[in-house]
Amino acid sequence: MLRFDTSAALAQIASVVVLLVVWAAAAIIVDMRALPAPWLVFGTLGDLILSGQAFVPLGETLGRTLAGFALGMVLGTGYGIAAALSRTFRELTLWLLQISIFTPTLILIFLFLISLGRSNLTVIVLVGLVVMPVVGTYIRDAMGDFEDELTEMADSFKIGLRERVTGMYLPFLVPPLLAAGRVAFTLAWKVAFLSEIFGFPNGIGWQVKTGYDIYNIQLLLAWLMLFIFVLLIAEQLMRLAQRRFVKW
Amino acid sequence: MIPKVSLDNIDLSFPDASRPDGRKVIYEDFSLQIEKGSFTVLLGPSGCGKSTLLNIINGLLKPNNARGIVIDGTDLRSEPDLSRQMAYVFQGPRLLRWKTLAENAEFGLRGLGVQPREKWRDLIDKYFRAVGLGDAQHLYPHQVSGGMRQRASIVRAWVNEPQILLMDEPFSHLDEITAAEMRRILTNLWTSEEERRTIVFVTHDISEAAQLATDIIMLTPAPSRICLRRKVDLPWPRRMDSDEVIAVEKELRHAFAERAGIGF
Repeated sequence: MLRFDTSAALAQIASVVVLLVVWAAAAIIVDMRALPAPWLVFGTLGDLILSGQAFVPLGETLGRTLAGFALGMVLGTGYGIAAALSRTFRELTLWLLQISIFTPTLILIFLFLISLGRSNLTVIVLVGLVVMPVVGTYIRDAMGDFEDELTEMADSFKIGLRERVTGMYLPFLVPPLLAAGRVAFTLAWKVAFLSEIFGFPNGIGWQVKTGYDIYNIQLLLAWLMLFIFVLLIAEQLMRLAQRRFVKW
Repeated sequence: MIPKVSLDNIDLSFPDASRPDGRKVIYEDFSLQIEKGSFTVLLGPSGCGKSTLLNIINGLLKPNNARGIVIDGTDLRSEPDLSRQMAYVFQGPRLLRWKTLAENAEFGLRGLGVQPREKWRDLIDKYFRAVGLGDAQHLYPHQVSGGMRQRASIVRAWVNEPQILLMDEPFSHLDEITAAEMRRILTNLWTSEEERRTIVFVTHDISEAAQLATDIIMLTPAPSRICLRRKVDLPWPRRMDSDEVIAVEKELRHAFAERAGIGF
């Protein structure tokens, strides 16, 4: 059953209010052109939304993010299960995985945009490949907690690989998948955003870059707010999914 | 005797660095026959290899050497699908917590490939009702008691209508009152069917063995050998506190002391 935690909600609201007050105070103290006040930024954001200008760039970035996120989740989950079940596979791919985690994302973005061209597919593949090792590591480590007793039970009932994956491993992995999904979506969103800044004439990233190029900090921050709101909404959806799907 | 299961000249040992020869011998030239339709109880001290025997019969564990692991006259090693005629009940329920009790039973059916699939729903209903869980089958394991979970694990095995039911100390984790109720449910299920299944039941509880068995096979500590084989021809239902069951129990205790060198 869902229960509303009033004190937690009040604490969260208080933290947002404090942040806005500090922002407003700082905006009053410094030059408004360098740091516009929150009401100006939210005013611009409201204009962007009400005029419909926000939706096309939002849809472009969100589309690339979701496609790359889905690719990364599927590849990462497959990798995590395989790495947990096969020691050989785990050892063979360990260095590759670590290198892909350690490589700075910006270098990957440059490399992909230059090598594969500035297409939607490039960003989707890039986002998928950046997300995959993070999800894979989560899932591989979570699979380590899978009870040997359940594996023995499955052996005794002659459960085949397909049924093991769909009936045992994936349901077992729902909580870690949701946890990994929250981190992975944030990462996917940021990578798609950065790719747009460096290589696309559309999407939220490009809008922010435009704001920077014309030194319109108010516009830049309004787009940034939109960027953050999407992440906050995604986070809440993931939490809801966790409550909905994890009944046991 | 018509043997359902026949183990011939089994050798099994495991690496054990603490021993001078580096190996712990569990079975050496060990043979055993289990009668068709019997409720055979393997009785022995902890570590003597009782559960290991179940795993060998089920094909989950391969001995180092064996002249034969024969089910119904056919060697299991040449016909591994024979193990699909068997179902296992473990010490703990080992239910999948993300599935309801009924879905757990269906998982077993799916694994052993019971046909036809259209029969599954009826089988699940029938056996959940038989163990008194007709209304609880749609609950998740965490929503029911430990005894109910173990009953569900019996259903998961029985619903396959296996020819051989392997049970590894299935009631040892339950309190005595629940365990007594479980024994009653199990023997009711077993005696209610016209053609009785072969049950191989592992326990270290002498009272439980005396109450449940039609055949008792007593094992010594490893390397295991059979130190007593005895039939128990008592009518069903049996009461644990009946004079006849207590007499069998006393006899088993004496046999343990004399033949396995374990006193009580």
